[in-house]
Amino acid sequence: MINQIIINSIIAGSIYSMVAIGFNLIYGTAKFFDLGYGVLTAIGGYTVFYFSKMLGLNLYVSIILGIIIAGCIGFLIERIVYRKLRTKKASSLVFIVASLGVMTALQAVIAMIFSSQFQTFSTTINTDTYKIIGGVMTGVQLVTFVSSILIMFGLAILLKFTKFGKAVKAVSNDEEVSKIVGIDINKIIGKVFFIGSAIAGLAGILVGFDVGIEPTMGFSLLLKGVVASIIGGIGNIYGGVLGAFFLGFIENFGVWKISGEWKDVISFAVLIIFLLFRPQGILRKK
Amino acid sequence: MDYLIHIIILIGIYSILAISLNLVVGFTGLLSITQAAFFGIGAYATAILLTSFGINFFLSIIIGMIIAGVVSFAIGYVLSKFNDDYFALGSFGFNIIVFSIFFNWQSLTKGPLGIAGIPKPVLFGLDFNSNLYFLALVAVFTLIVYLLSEFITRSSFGRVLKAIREDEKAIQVFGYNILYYKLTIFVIGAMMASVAGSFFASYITYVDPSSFSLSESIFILVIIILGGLANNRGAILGTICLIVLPEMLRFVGFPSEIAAQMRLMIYGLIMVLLMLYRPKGLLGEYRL
Amino acid sequence: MNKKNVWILIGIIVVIGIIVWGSLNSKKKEIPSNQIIKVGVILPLTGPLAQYGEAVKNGIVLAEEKLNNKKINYVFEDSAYDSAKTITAFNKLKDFDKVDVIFNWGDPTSQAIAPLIKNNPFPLVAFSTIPAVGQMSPYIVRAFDSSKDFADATWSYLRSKNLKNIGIIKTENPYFNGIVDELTKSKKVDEQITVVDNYLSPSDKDFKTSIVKINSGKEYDTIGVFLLSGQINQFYKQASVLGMKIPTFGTDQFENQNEINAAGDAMNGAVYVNYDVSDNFKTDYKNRFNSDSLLAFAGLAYDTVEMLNNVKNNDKDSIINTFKMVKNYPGVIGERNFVEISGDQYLFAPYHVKVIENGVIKLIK
Repeated sequence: MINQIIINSIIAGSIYSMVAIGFNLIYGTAKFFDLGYGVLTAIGGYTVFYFSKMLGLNLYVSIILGIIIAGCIGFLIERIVYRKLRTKKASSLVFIVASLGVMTALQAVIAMIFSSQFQTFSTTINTDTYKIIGGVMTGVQLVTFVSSILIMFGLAILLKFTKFGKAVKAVSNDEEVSKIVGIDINKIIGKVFFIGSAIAGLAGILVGFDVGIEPTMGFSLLLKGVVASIIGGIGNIYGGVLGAFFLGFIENFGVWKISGEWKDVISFAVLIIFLLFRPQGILRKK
Repeated sequence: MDYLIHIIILIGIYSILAISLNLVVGFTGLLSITQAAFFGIGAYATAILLTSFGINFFLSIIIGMIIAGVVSFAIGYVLSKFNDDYFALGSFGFNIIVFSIFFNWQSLTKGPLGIAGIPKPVLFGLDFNSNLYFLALVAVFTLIVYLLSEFITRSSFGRVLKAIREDEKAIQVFGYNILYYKLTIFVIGAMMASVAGSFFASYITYVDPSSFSLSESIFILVIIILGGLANNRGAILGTICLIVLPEMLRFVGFPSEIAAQMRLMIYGLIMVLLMLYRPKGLLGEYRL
Repeated sequence: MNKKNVWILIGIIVVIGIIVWGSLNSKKKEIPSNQIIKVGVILPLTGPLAQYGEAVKNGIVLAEEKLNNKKINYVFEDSAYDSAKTITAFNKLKDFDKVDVIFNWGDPTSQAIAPLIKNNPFPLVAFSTIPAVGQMSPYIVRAFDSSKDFADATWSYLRSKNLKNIGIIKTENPYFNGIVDELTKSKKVDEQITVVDNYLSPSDKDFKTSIVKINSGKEYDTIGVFLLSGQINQFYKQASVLGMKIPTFGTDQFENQNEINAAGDAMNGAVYVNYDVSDNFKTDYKNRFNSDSLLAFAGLAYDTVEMLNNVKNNDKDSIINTFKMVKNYPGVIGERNFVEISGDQYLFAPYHVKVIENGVIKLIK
């Protein structure tokens, strides 16, 4: 029984961690809280819905398209909105408000195209369940868990060993210096947005397979991602993942021991406690 | 006519909210996204005191202000430890917490069912049941809040606030107790928001938690950014624009399938365009 | 003139602009023939319950197209499920569109506009389950049954199966809370109702830990699933994965093929109480909107609009009396009758017990 609660926490944690990874990556380089980030999960999810269910395209092709389109839209948003703000040296608060605007507008567009009804993907995908450490998990949830871990390591390797990774690190440490060294900051941040948004798209697709999609799905996911990033350590990829699983555990044990209606209060109270006593999060940014 | 009076009353109530938030965000530079929580505290105070205890409306305003003051003192104290982004994040965390409490404390707030049948104010036998009288009353209070805010921001106290906004470290060196200033203005802002909440409850005659969610706080923030930060008239102008604009869009004649979403989209676009091209807002004296 | 004053001037001009525009607009439509009936419809078209608003709107659109009655016009406004916005929409419909009757969907929003009707009589059809709304004025007719009717129908089923110890999982919502209150009020001494968990937001879709609670806690005879569209299939899927064996019952929200399909086999055996939605309506709706979500809501709206078809005059008494004279009306959600109980007035439709078998809804009894 307690095993199942642990598994439930891990399931919740793995979806939060994907959102947290992308959010953290963007925060690390672009240095602002991108609250519009959540809407990219809906874009990923609805793209798959559109191609696979409405056009009847192969499911796996649709998934890849979903990831790429989410990435491209994230890239475009950065290009059209955030890059301009950056050249104007806008404060981080301006970014926050602008990103909220992006979210509101895009959610409305999705609702206009696809209606506000919740949608599900075809149920033909693997519906087996797996027993792990005495708890049960569905195939989709297992895939989500594995993807979140793979993305974490994949991204860590990418950032550590490639030239692009080193450039990202340089930008996140000091924009001025990296400019002098000859790094094209806009290009790097653009790529980071593409990668981050593609991860959000994948997260949205996996959520779609697990629980279904709706236009406003992004905001609550985003809030979890933000809380997770801060608890775990903002700007630190491992930190975001750690925070996400920590949040998953807090929530599920909260529901278990207290009650479902206090879930949000518990997670935000934990956030504020962290902000107060350990603002750098569990893992400090390296 | 009811429609116009209604719109103007809403403008009055939201002007109070906008002015109150402007003191915190515009004049002091603290990005607070929790004003709807204090708005809600005022509204629930009036709703509960009037329906369950039959207390006079004006007394309920004062009690609401006291409660909002105490709560905002505690919240403000915690928030005073944070800067910039973290302040914003912490404040919206508090909004979500207070919102959940409105939902969950059902013995007091009746949760999602809401409290209905809140009476209109009565003063010296004068009954404000007519919307026109109510409008006059709201206008008087809006004016008082406006003048009070002008007074605060022009006083030496207000000058210190602006100095904190521009350069917190420098002002600290001069020996000012920053915590005192930040907390005081946060509490004053919350108490004003609570007054707006009392009027809201009495006017609508019904309150439920959904009016005090995070998106409401964001709406108030967008109002003052549009109108112009650190300008009291800007706050009122912003309120007029953001309340009147959606009303005008009703008459544009979008196909009914998408009209509602269209308005939401335009609202989002306004936020983005404002940040891109006029982060100071219409009458702003300070940019975020 | 400095820059600030210019802006203030612009603001003032904008306001005056709409006043003038508005009054012009209203003038155009000032003297409609007393035959034409304008219906203002206020629905949550954005916000957390937008899918309900959409379904109800679709029901009305379908009725409009089917009946093809040129004498009835519709104006839709969004309430966003918010009380202040609903009052704004209400006043706008009354003042500018000069509508003759208003339909409003939602419990909280109906509670917000009902007092306005009390002071200024105006026909309102409230899609609300709260008796206090109907009691507010003789010009308000509720289009839903009361939560008490629902609770009675549910108890009569539960008692017939001898299910006494009831656990409930619920999303916080005035409608569900009302039903649970009524269920609790009318329980007998040996019957028990426990709310296992409450969820705050319609976007909460993770019920796994609550299900573990149900599986491992005290023995419930049955579980009441008081969840909203999009949540129901998730609850059943998760319950099936976690091996929950206890029988379940639900609400009218289950009348949603989208939901049943999404749940796959997991919803088999789920029992719920609802109006009986006719198959013809289901087919028509599916053909027109390519959707089979929330049909009971769409059907209810369809019927209510259809009743207006026979109104001769657009004065407020003829309109409200049309609803008050409804007797044995053959609606798409069953036979409807106007009922008046202790000052509350509503259009009753009988509840039926249904069960989901192999992805299909079946009537029992």
